[in-house]
Amino acid sequence: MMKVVGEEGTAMPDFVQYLKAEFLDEVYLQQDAFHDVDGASSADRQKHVFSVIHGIMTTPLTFKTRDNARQEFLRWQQIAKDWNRIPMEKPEFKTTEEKLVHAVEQHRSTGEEN
Amino acid sequence: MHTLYHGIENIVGNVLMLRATDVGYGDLAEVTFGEDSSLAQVIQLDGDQVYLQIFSGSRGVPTDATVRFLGHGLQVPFSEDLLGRIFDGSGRPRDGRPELDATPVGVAGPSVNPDQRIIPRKMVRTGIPMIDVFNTLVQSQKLPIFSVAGEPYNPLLARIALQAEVDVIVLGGMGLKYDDYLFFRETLEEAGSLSRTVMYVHTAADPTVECLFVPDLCLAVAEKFALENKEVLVLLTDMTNYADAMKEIAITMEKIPSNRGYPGDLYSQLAARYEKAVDFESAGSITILAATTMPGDDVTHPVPDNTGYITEGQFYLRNGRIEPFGSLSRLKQFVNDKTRADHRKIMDRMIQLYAGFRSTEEKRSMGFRMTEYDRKLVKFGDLFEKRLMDLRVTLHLEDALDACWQILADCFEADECGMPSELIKEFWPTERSEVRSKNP
Repeated sequence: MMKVVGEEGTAMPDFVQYLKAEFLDEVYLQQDAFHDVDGASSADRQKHVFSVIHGIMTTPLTFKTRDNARQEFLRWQQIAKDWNRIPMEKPEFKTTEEKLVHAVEQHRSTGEEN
Repeated sequence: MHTLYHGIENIVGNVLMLRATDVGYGDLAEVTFGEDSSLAQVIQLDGDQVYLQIFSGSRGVPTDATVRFLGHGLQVPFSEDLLGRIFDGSGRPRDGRPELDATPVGVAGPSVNPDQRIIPRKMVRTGIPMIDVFNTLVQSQKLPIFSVAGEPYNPLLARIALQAEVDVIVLGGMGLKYDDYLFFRETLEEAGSLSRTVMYVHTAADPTVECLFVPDLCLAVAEKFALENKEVLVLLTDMTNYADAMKEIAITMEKIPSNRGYPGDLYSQLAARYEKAVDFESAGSITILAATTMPGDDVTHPVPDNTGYITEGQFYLRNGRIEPFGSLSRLKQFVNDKTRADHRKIMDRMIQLYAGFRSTEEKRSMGFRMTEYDRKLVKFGDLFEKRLMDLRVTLHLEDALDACWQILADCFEADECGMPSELIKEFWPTERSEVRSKNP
């Protein structure tokens, strides 16, 4: 649909929905098959990661501009992809997870003020 | 002890038929008529009927010619002195220098026993970023270059012959235009690379049968060099001409034509040549790069189609570039984890972003407004094409990887380029190139 009407013809809530879908695809559905950690994740890890991603997917988000929305999502993607490459038992796994959740949460709280 | 046979029963095209005994399949024979003589090869046996393919063509051959069987198949003299020499499709010197006096070795033997082979593990550096970074060529790999007629596949092969970090280059030309032959010779001569090169060249003006021997001669010589611990790169151009020569011969032989007139054993014939590629446990290796032109850009044409089932990937040459999407080196993953830590990731990410650029182009052509991110993608695509995809670009692998990072840094912020943060920490350039060129 966005191919037909273009980004500028898509309502903001729909555009955010689209970015969320892209986020899910990039960080959860896709894997780097040649990476030792990302190449094979245990069921526990998958469940855990999914619950966090699901949390982000269901968080209501608003943005001032589309460019701003895309930029934020790209930043979160970067963090989430780094997270996918950290073994679950390492302490960085937890800190990166917190960093991701925090980044989204921070945007949500400041975004609402605007 | 050789029996002389007189009297040829029939001549069809370049195939002579006579009755003889004690003759082996693939044996050579010398056909003498008047002052002339030519070699011929047994290509079919049916009871005592022997079919000979005559190398110089059957024109002027009378039915009372004398035929003497040599008792062995096609051979090629081999020694170190081959380097720097140029021969034609039947192994005669083309460079005006004397015949080589060395031990002959058999041609078109079986391919190497799998037991002697090792799993490929070394890359072949070519200095061409689209190969080294994105589809790394691996020692012992067999890869075709699928190309539309008119694409610069011969200049590409010539550059690979100059730049590839191997010990010996064996170049086989099949149905080459005379200009192309001169181009190869002059390019290699000027760069001083002829001294590590052997060329077997069949031009379009030479008899068709000689075309059929070019890959076999090249690969026989390559195998001997590989057994002497040399890393050998065999460049063949153009395999479609080779297949066409097979077709021509098969039709004069009245074989039942298969798909589009090609012989039914096209696949086996091609495979027998490509399978010569090898990496020896305790010696050198043979890597094969073969240009295959696709008539009308048609991948379903029998030659590229069959080739695709044999080789380990393919390069597509289109619009003067090695196309990043269709091209694939199936062995690259064996080597690109040992080059530099960022190699695999940058290879993936650059192509993903380039795909993004292509869809942005599509969007732009439909007249949609460009977002800020779209403009970054467009800049990225242009820089990628200019700095890396252009076939004139020569960069060492490490320099090419650095160039990839520079393109990313010129177009994106570090946290939106999609590269892992730890690699960004290590490799992200400190300056954009615009800044760099201002402060030299």
